[in-house]
Amino acid sequence: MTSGSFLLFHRGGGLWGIDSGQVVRIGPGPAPGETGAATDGETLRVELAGAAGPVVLAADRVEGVVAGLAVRPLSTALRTFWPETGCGVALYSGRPVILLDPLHLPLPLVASGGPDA
Amino acid sequence: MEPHNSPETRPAPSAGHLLVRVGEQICAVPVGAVRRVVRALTVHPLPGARAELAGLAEFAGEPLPVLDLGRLIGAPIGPHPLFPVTVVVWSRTADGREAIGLAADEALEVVDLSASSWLPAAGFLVGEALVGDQVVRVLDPDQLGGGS
Amino acid sequence: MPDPNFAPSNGSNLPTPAAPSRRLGSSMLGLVLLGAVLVAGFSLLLFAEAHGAPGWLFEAFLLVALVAVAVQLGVVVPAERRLAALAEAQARTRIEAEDVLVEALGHLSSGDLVRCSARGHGLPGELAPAFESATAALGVLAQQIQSSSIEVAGAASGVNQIASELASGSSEQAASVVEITAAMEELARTAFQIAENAASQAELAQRAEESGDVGAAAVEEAVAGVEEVKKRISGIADRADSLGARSKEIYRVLDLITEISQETHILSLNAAIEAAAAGEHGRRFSVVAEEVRRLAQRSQESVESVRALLDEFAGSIRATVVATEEGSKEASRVLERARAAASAIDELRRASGDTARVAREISLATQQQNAASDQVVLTLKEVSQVVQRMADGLKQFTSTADRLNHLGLQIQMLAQSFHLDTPHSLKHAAELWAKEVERRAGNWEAIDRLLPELLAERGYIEFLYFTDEVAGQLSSAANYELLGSRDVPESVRRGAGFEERPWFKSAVKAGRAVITTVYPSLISGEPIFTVAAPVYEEGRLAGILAFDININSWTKI
Repeated sequence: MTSGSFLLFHRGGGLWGIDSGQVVRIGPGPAPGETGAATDGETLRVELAGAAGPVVLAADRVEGVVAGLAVRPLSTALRTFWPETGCGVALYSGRPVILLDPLHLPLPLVASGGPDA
Repeated sequence: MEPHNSPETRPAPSAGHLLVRVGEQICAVPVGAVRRVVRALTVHPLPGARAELAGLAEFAGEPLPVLDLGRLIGAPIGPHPLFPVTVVVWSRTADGREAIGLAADEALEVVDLSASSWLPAAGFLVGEALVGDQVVRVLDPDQLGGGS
Repeated sequence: MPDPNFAPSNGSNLPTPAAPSRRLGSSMLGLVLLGAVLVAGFSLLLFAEAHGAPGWLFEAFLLVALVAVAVQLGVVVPAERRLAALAEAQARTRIEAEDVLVEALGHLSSGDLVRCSARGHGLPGELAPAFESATAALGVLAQQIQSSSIEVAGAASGVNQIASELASGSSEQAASVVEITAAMEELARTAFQIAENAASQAELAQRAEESGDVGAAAVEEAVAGVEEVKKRISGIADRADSLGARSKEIYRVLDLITEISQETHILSLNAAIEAAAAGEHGRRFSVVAEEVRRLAQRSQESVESVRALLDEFAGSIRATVVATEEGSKEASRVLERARAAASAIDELRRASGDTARVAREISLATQQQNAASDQVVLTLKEVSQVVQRMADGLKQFTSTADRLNHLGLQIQMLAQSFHLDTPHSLKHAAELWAKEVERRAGNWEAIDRLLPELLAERGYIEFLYFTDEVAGQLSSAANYELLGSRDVPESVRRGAGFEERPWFKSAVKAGRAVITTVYPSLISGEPIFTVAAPVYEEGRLAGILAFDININSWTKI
């Protein structure tokens, strides 16, 4: 269920968005030396209340919470050449944003938790 | 999905094609499929994407997936492009059409390709043609979205 | 010194006095005297009677005369005889004592206090102890003389040692004075040389200074010329720069044109695409689009040729600039060299000035040093004179010590001329040892064993030897510690010619121990003296025992 506002954050060179209603909190990144699925460059952690339990996403930088985004569905080409899924794409300040599906979060973005964890 | 290369969908034998250079290869895109040729757009890479997907750009207020034409056709890298371009093409899908960007090194000209020069192929590369003594590879943008 | 060749008295010869005739003489005289008195009395009596004297006088007188005669004959004459005998005995005793005394004194005059003392025991009565004490006192005196002679020698050698130490010290002093003087002179010579060098340096510096002026002027001209060249070169460089700047502008314009033609090109493509989409209506438009595309292409081509021309032009400008830069560098190098030359000349000038100043300073310092070293040399000369005087004084000192030593030896020899009953008396030793040899007389083997034993008792004896009365055989013992590696010559070993030797002859003649004067040794050639004593066997001369003492060992006696 989308609330219309999304938390936008950068990770791995891309700009991502997640329904802000899904976000429990934003916390600090991993301690030095801690290893996890996604730790390089990660400075923040976005904790989500996942349907199957809490999920933590890795983030390099948080853009902010934005509302009023014009969401488009993922194009065929995108789906062809990008294995992950999302709920749509949008533009934010001229920059393309991929809006994540909480149920199908791209594994590279997940720090811990998730339906497969 | 409608079959490829059906008579209805195959471009006319002497239809106009936009010639673009990528690396040392020249591709031909049917002008009917070309939406616009623009100077190379700023492409934001998408983590986890396949190599052919250069990333996402913005065009006409919409997010545009941009494919690396060179990678797409496997062309060896040529001289550094002075004025790279993005060819925005329409790709027909089941639901209608979507815009795809093709990153190329240079946009050359619009020419008519004669029918006798067709060579059948598969995938989005629908054939090869001769322009002068230059072999050009003819693309079908509609096949881009379906994957190969 | 008693004459060693003294002719001895051989026993006491009692002179026979004419005693009886003297006895007879005295009683005869008494009787004659009595007779004369009687006759005179009788005559007187007759005269008296003739002149009325009593008759009884004559009888009285006769009685007295008879009595007198009786007394004379009975008492006086025997008494006289007894007295005469007594006197005779006394005279005999006295003569004996005289003989003994003469003999003893004879020994004494030979310095033989031992025999003198021995003979003195034969003196009668209180004469013996008196004589004994007198000889003892003399012996003590002789002993003391001998001891003090050794002390004198010790003192003399001590003086000698001190003198030689002082002498060596003063000679060391003299040596160091000489060294210092030599060093000072060396220093003075060096200083003089330095001063000379400095003077010639100053002259050179003066000349350098003069030539430096000329050189400096020339350099300044050169510098001015080079700077002129540099200006011109930099003028060229500036023009080249401005040309370069202009062409940069042109390049920018070209870039702009390229941009435009690119845009135009794309525009034309898009136009062509639109025209295609427009179908038939778009055909004329597509022609126009094509024209535009060609235009853009042509302008791009012109841009390319202009760019090529500009590149060529830029190339030649660059070449020009490079050439002028090279020229400029070269000019700069020349300028640098000129400047370096100028500064070198300045340095030289400064150095010359410095050198002249330094030379003057050195000269001054050298003068001062000379004066100072003159002073030192003068002082040293004074010191040297003092040292010389000291050395001279020491020489006197040394010769005095030598004389003292010699005097000591003389005194010792004098003392040794006495035969005393002390271990220090050489004559006594000789005579004791002669007695030892006498006991072994005839037994040459025993004598051979005896001599080394005796020699060992007195370390200062160089050579001890016994030769028989005809100097035909010899037994000897030598002290090699004193003789060193010197061998006893064969002639000496054989005792050849010993009977002619003075010690032999004087020992035989004296019949007692004798001591010779100093003479050169047959063994070592060094000055020695010999003590010799005759050896008797049953009253007959068996041989002579003698030993040699080096005068250098005399203080050990």
